Amino acid sequence: MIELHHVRKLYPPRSRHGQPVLAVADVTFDVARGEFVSIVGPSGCGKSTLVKMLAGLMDITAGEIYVNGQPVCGPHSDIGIVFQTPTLLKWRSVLDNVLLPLDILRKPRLAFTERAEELLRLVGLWDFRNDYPSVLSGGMQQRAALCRALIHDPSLLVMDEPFGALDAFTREEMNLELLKLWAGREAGRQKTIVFITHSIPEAVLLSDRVIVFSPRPGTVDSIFEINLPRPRTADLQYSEQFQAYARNIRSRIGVAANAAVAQQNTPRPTRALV
Amino acid sequence: MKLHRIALPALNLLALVIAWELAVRIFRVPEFVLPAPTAILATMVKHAPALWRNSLFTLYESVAGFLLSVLIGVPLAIAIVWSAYLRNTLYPILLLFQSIPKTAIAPLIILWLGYGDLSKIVIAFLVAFFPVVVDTAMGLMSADGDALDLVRSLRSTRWQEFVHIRMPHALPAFFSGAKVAITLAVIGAVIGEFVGASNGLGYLILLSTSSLQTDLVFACLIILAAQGIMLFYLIESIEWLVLPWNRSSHAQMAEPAFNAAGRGG
Repeated sequence: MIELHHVRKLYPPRSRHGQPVLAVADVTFDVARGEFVSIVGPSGCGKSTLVKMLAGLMDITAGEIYVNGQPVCGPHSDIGIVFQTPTLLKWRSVLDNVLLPLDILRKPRLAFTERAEELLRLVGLWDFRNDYPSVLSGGMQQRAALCRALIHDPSLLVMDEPFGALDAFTREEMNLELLKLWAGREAGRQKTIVFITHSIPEAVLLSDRVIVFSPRPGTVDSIFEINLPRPRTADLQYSEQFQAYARNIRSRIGVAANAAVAQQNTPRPTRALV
Repeated sequence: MKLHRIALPALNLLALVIAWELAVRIFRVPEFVLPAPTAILATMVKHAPALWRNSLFTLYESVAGFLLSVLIGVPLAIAIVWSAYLRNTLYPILLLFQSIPKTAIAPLIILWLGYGDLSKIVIAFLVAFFPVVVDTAMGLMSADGDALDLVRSLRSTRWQEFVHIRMPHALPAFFSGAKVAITLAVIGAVIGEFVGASNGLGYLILLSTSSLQTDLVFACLIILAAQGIMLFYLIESIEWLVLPWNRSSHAQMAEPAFNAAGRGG
């Protein structure tokens, strides 16, 4: 479904005397169709850069990204994106926000009203469909954003720290709802999800695999297979197996961060090279 | 709450008018220097037909100038935001133009367009259009980056980006520019009438000053102020009607959020 081969992203210097910034160094991994993969890492490890490159919103300095076997060299509309902030358009009602992708893709709204209702009912927002987003709480807004990302039935869902701004309870609730959405509806046509987060428990709870990124420049430090039974529940978090996964991932992030600090203390010839 | 917002300023104004009346009477200020409010009121009644006719004229010039500033200012703002080339070529010209005092070129406009209403409309437009351009352009440019990324990820055209994200986002900024512009348009119309006209409140002010009819001058000033306030609130009402989603930003509307909480959100 997704393949990344030696992907590298170098931002040009901001000012004339500034240095170019290497955000992503040499990233190689793949995601199978229908797989739920989380990417965890300290802030500044190029996670958001990766999201933009996956969506075709940003050009890649070197390497290749394939989605559905096609090289990514621009936006490809078979994708749904959820950002950290809900990013709802405040002049559109909740329903109109959910239907926004159809307006952009020039698809008839009428054909999707059933789907919109189904999605909004699933996340408990159907009664709010005619309200403006400003009326909703943060969690409700993010639910609406999730519906919007799914309305045009993309095969790939990219989520960039979607629940990072929510309180712990809402976050857990949203995690379980996301799993329901992902597993429940379209059996056999499960969406591929790339989920960016800085919460290790969240990553373990949701994912088939967790990819640990090192700090800037971002690289794949390690990949963990999460062999926990599905469907997953909130209680799972207190199991020993879960804790062990979380601990192992945590230790890798520590190693990756320390390595980066050590690297920063030594001269960095790599930046001048490019 | 609502009562306070109207009653308090009204009371202040009334106190000011009473103080004015008393001061004029106690200190025996000559009428041609400062007429008492009651004297002004009497003049307004006496000259009602002339004041009415001239104020309608100024109103027409200001509104026409304002509409022209919107009609030309908004497409200009869109052009500036749309293309870097237009931004680099148009913006310096606009800035250069804005730095010329409009009062200074008013005689030239009269010379070119004559004594009629057209020259006043053009002057009102020239004075008013800059805030429309700047505020609208700012609104168009400050659209949320994530929202733009969202539609771009769906392969939006630039036009869709404008229609669905930038333009609605810019509406509140446009309206704040329009509110500044409408009051400036009144100023522009009066400037035009000062420089050369045979109609309008500006013309009437000039005429009454030269014949020391200060009470009539004040009558014109009061009407001009009333006109400005009326036009300002007219724009604000239109904004309120057109942007129901933006109402919460106009104070007093903490209610919707409260309702949502009540519904168990």
